[in-house]
Amino acid sequence: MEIGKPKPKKISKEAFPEILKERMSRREALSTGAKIGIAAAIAAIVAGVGGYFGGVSTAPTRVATQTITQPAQTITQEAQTITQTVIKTETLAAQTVTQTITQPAQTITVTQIITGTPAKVPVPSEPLRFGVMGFQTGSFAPASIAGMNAARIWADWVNQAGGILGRKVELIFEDETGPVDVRKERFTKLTVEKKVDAIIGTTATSTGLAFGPLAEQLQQIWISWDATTQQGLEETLPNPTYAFKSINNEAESVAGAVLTARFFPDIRTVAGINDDYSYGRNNLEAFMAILKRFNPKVELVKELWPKPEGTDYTSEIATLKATKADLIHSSFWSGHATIFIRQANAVGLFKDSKAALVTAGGVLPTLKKDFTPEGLLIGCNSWYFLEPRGWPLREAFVNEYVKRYNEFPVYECDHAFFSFQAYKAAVERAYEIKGSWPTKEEIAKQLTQVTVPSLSGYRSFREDHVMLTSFWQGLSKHSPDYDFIILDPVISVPPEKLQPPPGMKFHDWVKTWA
Amino acid sequence: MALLEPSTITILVLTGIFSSSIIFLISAGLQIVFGIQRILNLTVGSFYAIGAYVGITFINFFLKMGFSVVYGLLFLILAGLSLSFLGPTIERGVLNFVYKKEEAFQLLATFGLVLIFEDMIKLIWGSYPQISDFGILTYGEFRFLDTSFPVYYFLVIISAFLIAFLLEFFIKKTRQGKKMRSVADDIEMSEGLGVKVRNIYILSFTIGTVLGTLAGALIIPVTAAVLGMGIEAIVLAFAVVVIAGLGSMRGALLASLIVGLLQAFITFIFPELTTFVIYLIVIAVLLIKPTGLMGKEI
Repeated sequence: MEIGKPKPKKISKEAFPEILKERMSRREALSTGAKIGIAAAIAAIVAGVGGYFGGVSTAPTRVATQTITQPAQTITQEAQTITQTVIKTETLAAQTVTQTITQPAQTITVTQIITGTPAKVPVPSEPLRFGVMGFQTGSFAPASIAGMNAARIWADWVNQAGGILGRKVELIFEDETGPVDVRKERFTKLTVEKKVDAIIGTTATSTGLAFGPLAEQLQQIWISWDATTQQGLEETLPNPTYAFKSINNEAESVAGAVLTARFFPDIRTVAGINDDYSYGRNNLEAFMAILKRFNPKVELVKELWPKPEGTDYTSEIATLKATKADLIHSSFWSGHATIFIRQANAVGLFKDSKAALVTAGGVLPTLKKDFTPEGLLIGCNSWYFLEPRGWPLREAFVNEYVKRYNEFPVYECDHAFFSFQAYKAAVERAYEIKGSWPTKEEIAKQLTQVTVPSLSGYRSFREDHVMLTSFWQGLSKHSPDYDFIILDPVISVPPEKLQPPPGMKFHDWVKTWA
Repeated sequence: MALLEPSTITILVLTGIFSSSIIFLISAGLQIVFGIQRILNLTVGSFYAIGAYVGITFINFFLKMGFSVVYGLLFLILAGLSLSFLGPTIERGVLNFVYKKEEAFQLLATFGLVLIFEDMIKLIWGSYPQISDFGILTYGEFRFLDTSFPVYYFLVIISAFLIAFLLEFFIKKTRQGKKMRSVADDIEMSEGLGVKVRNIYILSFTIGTVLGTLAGALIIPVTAAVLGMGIEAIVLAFAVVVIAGLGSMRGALLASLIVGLLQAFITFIFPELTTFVIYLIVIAVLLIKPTGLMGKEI
């Protein structure tokens, strides 16, 4: 169930910047090969051989790359109408040729980029500036700070490798803590005063709901690590231009419900303790909806909604203990997860109840063995740093992170790293097409067209600007090699099982589950 | 009745009293400083957080040195007491300059200290939650009515009541305590009678500091030290102080018990209303008896 394409090659962390270059050049090589292949395929279609690619393709190079891998299907086509449009834009160094093939049942669009020999305009010499925003204080800070640390490592590595198309990168950090209006002012300040090229980061849904429209208004690229633009389980910004959103809030509990059904099939009663805000409420609702598909008799017997950023759950745990539910569900994801598990274990809550702590892996290194029992279902979001696959980039990053910060990295590092990698690849791709430094809009368009290596494998954005990734969850286990828990067995739930397709409502999607 | 079985009541009462104990120590620190120095000391939340972080460092250090885990509680108390130097340092270094300023200025000064301490914590201990190696079950479990509780809970409850008794005794019966009461009543008269107000201020602020650091140190076997824990603590402490009446030590004990037990029971019965009920009581006290349940004492 893996989506990444790990390279078995072992490399040292010192060699990382070269790895990035190497990977990019491989992509370019692949892309060039693809272009030749596409040209051949188009020629065959025009000659009347016909083409049947089995789907609608609108993405330029990346999707076209897929079509050339299915040559056998092109022979079976009978009647078809072919129209051809050639787009020439003087401002673009490259020419784009679009062919639209209309068939009885479907329309296929294949776009070919003829690179030719465009005259490239030199890139600006000044550094690229990124606003980086996350919680710097409070119990939500650990995950955000891990993301910011990852941003620093990425920036150093990219600068060591010569920057993005030769431009060095600079990071300007801002705090996400405080009222939403203050956060919006910081966004505006970064855009208008600091003139940053993009704003990357943010964790809270309240931030996302504010920043999504603001990014569109200010025409500023905003790539969120964890903040969605969801109101409840509904998307509020379905067709953005500049806003790039986190994976849906409820994804953790979707994965958690699937694995709860697998690991704890006999549970009948559930008690939930989740933060009293959008993320917490979305998670419990999604968890129960999915779990009922597997086990219709399961019942929610208690809902607790402590205020976000809590640091004491003694009263709530007493209630959970008295409720005697078969399973405790929680989406606590930062320092409060550590506190909850420790306080719950102290009064023996996990002796009486199973637990699905679907995001507690956000602070995995703090879940020490002496207070975290074995057998709890723990979710690590997009990245479990001990995942069984080999992936040199992960190994290099973990080594660097531990060396710099004397602690193990968590999933927010993956979201941060991916966000920056995607931006870099989008700029490079847009420059390749245009021949001069692209505008923010041009970069934003390319962000959905790139697939980049991140810490968890290759990752990309969906066409509606939602991140794609698989999620790692598993049962807690004590290992002699670590003073905190590891996950064994650990399972990767693929992206298509985590959130509805673009445009589909969550509960309609749940009905499609067998 | 399933709602309130004896075992459920036991769980809720014990949990409520345990929470009350910690809340009392923090709010007592707030009370004593306001009662004597007339300053709303937001820094007490920071003392609570620093007590937790230093407590973890202390106990982990001693356990690594090979000391038996049985002395854990002693090490935590030592950690809390060792931070008493913060009292005179801040009183002389900061508060000394704001006594004659407006109340808003005093509040801003102590809030500034809260932010400084938060950044210091991040600098020294990092952003990850800190955990002590001292497990809460070190002293075993107590079983009652089909449920079990760590013995450590009872030790904390006993410690808090003992501290409340000693504070009462110190303030009411000792010479220094009487001087403190006289300063609280009338500074000029006290000075006229030879009481060195400066020393009394240092003493009361140091007691307030130690109450906060002790609470922080005692809580760490139960929880983790995290950024923001001080600010969270101060919010509840203020509710206690309003219900108790500013400056009242007995009121603080009573109000802590009310808040702790209400939290436990309301969370079980109407979890959505927990915060609402506590602040409803705060508003009711402010409207009906603005001086608090036992205001004007000390």
